[in-house]
Amino acid sequence: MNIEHIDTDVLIIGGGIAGLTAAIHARKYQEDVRLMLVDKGIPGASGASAFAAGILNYWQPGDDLENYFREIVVDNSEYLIDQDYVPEALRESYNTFQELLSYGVRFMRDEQGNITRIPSLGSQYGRCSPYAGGGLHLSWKIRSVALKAGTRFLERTVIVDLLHDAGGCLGAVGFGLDSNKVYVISAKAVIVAAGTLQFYKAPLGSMGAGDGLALALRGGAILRGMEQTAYVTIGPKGLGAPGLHIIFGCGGWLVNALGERFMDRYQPRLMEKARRFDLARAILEEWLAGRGPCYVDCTHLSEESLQVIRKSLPLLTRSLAAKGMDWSRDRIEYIPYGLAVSSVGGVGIKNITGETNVNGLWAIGYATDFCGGVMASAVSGLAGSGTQGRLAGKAVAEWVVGKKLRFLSESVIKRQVANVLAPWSGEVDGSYHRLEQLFTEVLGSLFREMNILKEATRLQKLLQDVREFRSCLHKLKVSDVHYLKKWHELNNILQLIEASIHASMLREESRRAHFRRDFPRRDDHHWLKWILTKQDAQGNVSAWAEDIPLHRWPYRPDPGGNHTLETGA
Amino acid sequence: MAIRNIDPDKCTGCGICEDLCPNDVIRMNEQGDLACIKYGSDCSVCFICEEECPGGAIEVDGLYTGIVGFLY
Repeated sequence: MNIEHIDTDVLIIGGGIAGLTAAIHARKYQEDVRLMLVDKGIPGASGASAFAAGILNYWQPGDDLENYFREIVVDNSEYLIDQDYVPEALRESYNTFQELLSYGVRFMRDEQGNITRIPSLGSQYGRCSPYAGGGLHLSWKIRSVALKAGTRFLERTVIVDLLHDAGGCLGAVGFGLDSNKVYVISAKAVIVAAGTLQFYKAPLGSMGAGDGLALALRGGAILRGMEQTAYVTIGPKGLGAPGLHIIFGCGGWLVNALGERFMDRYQPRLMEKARRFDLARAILEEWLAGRGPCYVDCTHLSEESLQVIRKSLPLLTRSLAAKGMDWSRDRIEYIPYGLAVSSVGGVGIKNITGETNVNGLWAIGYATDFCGGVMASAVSGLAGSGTQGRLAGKAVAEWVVGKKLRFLSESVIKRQVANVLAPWSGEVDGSYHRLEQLFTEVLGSLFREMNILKEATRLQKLLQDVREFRSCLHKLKVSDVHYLKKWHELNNILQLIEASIHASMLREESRRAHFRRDFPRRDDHHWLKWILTKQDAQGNVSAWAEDIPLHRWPYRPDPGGNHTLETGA
Repeated sequence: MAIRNIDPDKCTGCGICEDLCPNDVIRMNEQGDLACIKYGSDCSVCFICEEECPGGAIEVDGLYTGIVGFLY
């Protein structure tokens, strides 16, 4: 492969809503800033943004901000989220919504032409609007705007590592899927917007291997919340995953094999509108109690509601039709989707502009922990990502003014390039079968030992498994650029699993999407802390706890509070 | 299983499917005039190729047979 050197001012890694929005706003604030955006697919047609589950969560003037703020902190995030971030991000979510409208993104409207708003999943105060077009409609529109803003796209290019030294981040290195080139990109600032480990190998999934988190971790960034591994969703068995907001927002039910609605056993207040992983855990518990399988039941809904579901979930509706099923007539079996192993954790950003602990490095969107993390709200997800993109784009464009490019020595660059290409010269000829098999084994181990329900002995076992898998992977030889990409993806996945194991072992309680069978209660006495992880230069991962500065903020648990999660155990 | 077929009679060789596939499943043939399913097992049934193909050459099966969730 030939090596191409590229210089730019701002390098954005990842072309979803966060990255594209960052590019648009960087240009808005600095007309002459050089912008480069890299994606391993096509910006605007890859990643989670392109498969957005039909809705945008956002706050708007007239909504109850204070109660939504409290609910996000107390009920959704269980005190893990930064309380300076939440109200600001709520207000900004309205601007993000307006921005999408201005780009021509279409939302469903009622007969009077008003944009439809329905309750958000997992929330009493959150509201969302369904899109009129599918996910690609959204991200493709933003792509056009970013292109018009003069962003240079480097498409179908896999970024493998950040370039960094003691002074901070100075670019990235990667390879093209079609160009037969290794790229060494020097930049004054880098924005990581490459998403998280989610829906890898899952249907209708974004194949998010967590590249953004992994390369940030290797680049010296501190990750936060990596123990939140049960951020899983539920989905139709054998089909695609999205659509819960719409289905339950329109009044759909979850029922067990006996035909009973069962969410009142686990989340009596929110029922089917509980957090996704609460739904997953509930289904699991119903199975363990012998009352599985469980189903989504929309057969009682009005034709109007059914039409909303069919229109906003065209692909899922179509997949059901292929099986001879329809929402109005059939109960659809739903199972926990362990593959949505996206930790709500990510790069531990300091604020809404995505500042990290590494000089010259920002992180936005799902590559971050959304300032402590929360599921499916106006301050995370698409609106949160778009908001962070907008504010980071502006901040970074201003930051690079007057900065000079810095370069690593030739020998260091050579090492980095060699690292990108290392799998070409592995010992064991594997390529297709061995690599696919390894993926299956890794994901299988992950499900059994860490996904949803965890305990110390199984986490230890998983750590051993990860080390063995890594050793196998590093011996494998690939001779095809597609498999070079997959090799690096699996390497990243293993790294993130390891970070999650360390974080999970440290937090000896259960909270939000971290559930330990050996510590099933939430412990507000000892564990109002964040779990942070980092990697040293030798590649050793460590985790430590830091007090959440609740004394600065309005919401904190009752003193001496100790409560069992509603799902019981 | 996911992407099923690319009809060579309907494929115009425009390359849109190769460009848009998020998982690099589709590659043009050596002559560059026909799209082929090269890494079919990476298909995640997103339907983008089928929807965007101007010639209607691509068939995607809605039934996914890859790794899905599990119960234990």
